[in-house]
Amino acid sequence: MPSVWRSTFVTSAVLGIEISAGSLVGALANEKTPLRDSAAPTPKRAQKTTDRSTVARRRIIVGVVAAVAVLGLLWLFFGRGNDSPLAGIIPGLNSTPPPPQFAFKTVTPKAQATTTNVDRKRLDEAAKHNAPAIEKVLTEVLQVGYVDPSTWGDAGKLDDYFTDEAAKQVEPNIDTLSLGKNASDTFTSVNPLPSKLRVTTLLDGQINPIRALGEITFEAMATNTDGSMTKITLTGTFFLVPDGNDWKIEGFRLNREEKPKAAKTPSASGASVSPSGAA
Amino acid sequence: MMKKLIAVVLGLSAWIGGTVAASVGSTPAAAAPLFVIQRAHADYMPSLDGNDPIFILLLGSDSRPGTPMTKGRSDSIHILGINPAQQRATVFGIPRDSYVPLSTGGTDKINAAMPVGGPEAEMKTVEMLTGITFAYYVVTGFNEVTSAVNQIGGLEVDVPYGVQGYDQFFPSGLHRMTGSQVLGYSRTRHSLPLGDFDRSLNQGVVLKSALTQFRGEFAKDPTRLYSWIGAGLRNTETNVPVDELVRLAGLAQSVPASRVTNLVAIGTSGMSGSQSIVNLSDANNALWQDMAQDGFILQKAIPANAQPDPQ
Repeated sequence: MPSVWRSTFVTSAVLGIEISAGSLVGALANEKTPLRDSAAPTPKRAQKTTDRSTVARRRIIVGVVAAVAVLGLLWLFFGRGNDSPLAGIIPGLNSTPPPPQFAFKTVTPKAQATTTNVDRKRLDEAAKHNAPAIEKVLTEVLQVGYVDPSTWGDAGKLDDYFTDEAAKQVEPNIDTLSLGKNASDTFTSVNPLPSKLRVTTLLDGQINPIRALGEITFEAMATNTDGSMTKITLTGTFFLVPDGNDWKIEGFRLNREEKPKAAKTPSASGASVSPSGAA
Repeated sequence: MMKKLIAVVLGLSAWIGGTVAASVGSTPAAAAPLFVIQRAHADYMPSLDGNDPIFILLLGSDSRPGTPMTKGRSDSIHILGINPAQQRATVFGIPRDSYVPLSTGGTDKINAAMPVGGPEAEMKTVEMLTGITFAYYVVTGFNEVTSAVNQIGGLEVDVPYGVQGYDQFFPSGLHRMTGSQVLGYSRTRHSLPLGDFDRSLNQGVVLKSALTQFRGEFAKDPTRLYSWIGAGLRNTETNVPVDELVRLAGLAQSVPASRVTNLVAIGTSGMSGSQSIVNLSDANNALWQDMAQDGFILQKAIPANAQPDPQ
């Protein structure tokens, strides 16, 4: 089978387009180019020359059609990243890099005693000892809620970080506890900037932690679906309670601000353009 | 010719099909310009809820340095009733000289129960008197009140009328008081028209002022919660668990001081032997029944002969 015909056949089959047997098959049947005849021109020979031209033209047309079809298919299957139908089938085809891993740049521990005459040094040591566990919880909450696009707006992925009572408040507050249910309509990715955490641990008379709060300043740069950028700042306080060896969030007060980042445009001064409609 | 046409149609079909298929399910390319600053807010604190009232006995001990607070006489006695669902509360003062049956035995001034049986005995005594069942008690003392106020950075007290304290005069109006000033304002009674009755009401004024200040500070900076809890626990003896304190703090956000009634028991001064006492009026029974039922007393339910809330 001629290669052109084979590729056309394959392309047609994949596209689900039925090619009439009487069309291409007819056009390409006996596609052997008539041999050059050194004999003098005769009507029969003239006919052969005409046939040869016709076949050549048909080959060009079919070739162009096949190339276009193949290019369309290549784009459909390989040129669309996550949207490709093959993305879920072929490992490594996914062209989107994994989300960045969030971590607080600075963590400041602090203690609050509930009894008098407790050595300040012991309190500070206890605060330092307890801070990493609280940092871990809040890091994961921000990773799930803000940094990982696949879990934006997914209350189910956050519930486990909250007490049973507070977990009921996750869904109603999901648009602040995470970037939002419809965040992917606006953003494609979030890249964390240096963020801060201050942990205050409430300690009992035996220097055991009984409560903690985490004050966060989470900053990130989001890429919008139109390619522009937005600076995201989430500030506020999480209240946490010990839960075995872990900590759960029992309360929160959070504020988020999304500020369009002015695009750099070439200008005489080289200054960036300010958002004109900023409110 | 026909064959050419078919080939062209096929090519176009492949191109259009590929384009259409590729665009299905993808993100719209053009989003609206994001030139507006977007804001979002989330707020939740666990809070006491439900219609069941909660009662806490607030006791001010007269113990001196070196003596445990819980072994002093309870010179300041207030019933704090809270109704979470109604978002109302009442501070009901009982004069320390009230002559009542004690849970520790006999009849004496009400403040005599704590030195014998601690805050639990004082609680039982007040329960016997009022029919109100307490969930918790809180005991503080002179030095402790001073320290607690200083540790939260002072207290802004809305003084309803001019009061001559031990060391200074407090004109009416808002005063940012230090710990010792709060103590002085709360303790003074000789300059007050109705002595211990007015003093008890002034202590209610301080409690309401503390509520107002806490609400304001928490609204601005929620981390202040632990400053208040820390200062409170460091300077009191209490059986209120931290869980409950956090929930009370959550509830406080929805109970402004204007929804807190401040009153003092109705009574008359008298003598028992050589000691001055207060004979409580039977009119208090209706008030205590009212309070026991739902945790609060409305201002309009207070009889005309009761000492009015100075605020």
